[in-house]
Amino acid sequence: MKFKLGDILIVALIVITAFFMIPKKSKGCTAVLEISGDTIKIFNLSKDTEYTFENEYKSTIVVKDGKISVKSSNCPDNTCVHSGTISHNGELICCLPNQMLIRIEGDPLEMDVITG
Amino acid sequence: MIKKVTTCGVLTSLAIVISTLERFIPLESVIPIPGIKLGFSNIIILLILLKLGFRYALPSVICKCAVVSFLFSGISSFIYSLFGGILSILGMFILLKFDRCFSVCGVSIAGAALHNVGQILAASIMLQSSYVFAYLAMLLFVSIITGTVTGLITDVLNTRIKVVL
Repeated sequence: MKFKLGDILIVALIVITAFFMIPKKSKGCTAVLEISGDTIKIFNLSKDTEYTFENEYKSTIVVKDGKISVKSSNCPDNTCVHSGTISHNGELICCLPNQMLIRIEGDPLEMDVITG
Repeated sequence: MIKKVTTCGVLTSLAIVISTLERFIPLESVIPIPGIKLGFSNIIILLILLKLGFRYALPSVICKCAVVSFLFSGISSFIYSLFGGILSILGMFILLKFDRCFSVCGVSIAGAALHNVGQILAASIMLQSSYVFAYLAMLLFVSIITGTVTGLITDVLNTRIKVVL
């Protein structure tokens, strides 16, 4: 098999796009729970809590030691549970079957910049 | 014509079988990104595209997405994989028109990357949030590896199978 010039172009294009897409990571202080784009709840990461909600599936979210994770969920693929804990800006926990997204937001001072 | 349709049907069912077997590989627990897959069924789809053409490959992709999604995960997963699948097959079809510049491997890498872009687009529409694009970087890096592997396998199959349909 012979590689051709265009192949290098394709790979280069993908790598460049990927590098631009790498999210910038910084320590966050709040976590936002969204379902289908609507904000359901905002968690303060410095307070340990446990929160259970039910959309199409039932998920339990845990905040502990400044990190948030999905402890359990009865959705079919369980990617949200495998995602583990997140605590940095740009990190996500996403559950497609449940249409749920948890994202971290940064400094309270930067908050209105991000949401605005 | 009948021979082509039959071959396409057999190959599509093979793609469905590969997709099904892939579900048993717990890739999502290693790289926790929803919808991440090895994409080996793309070998078959690309082979259909090479041997039979776009007219057979497009229905084959739609059929594969529909059967696999409805058997195992449901309507939302169908939308994600359909978006990815169609974008991927369109991209590969266009690139194969310029096969002087692109090898099968390159086309396969582009197909894998486009599949991910399509899925993320679908996810951002479904979840109504652009934050899911944070996954794209990782998915694109993985797609270069998986795309190369599937591309090499497809190339071997394409040169070895010399059936004229």
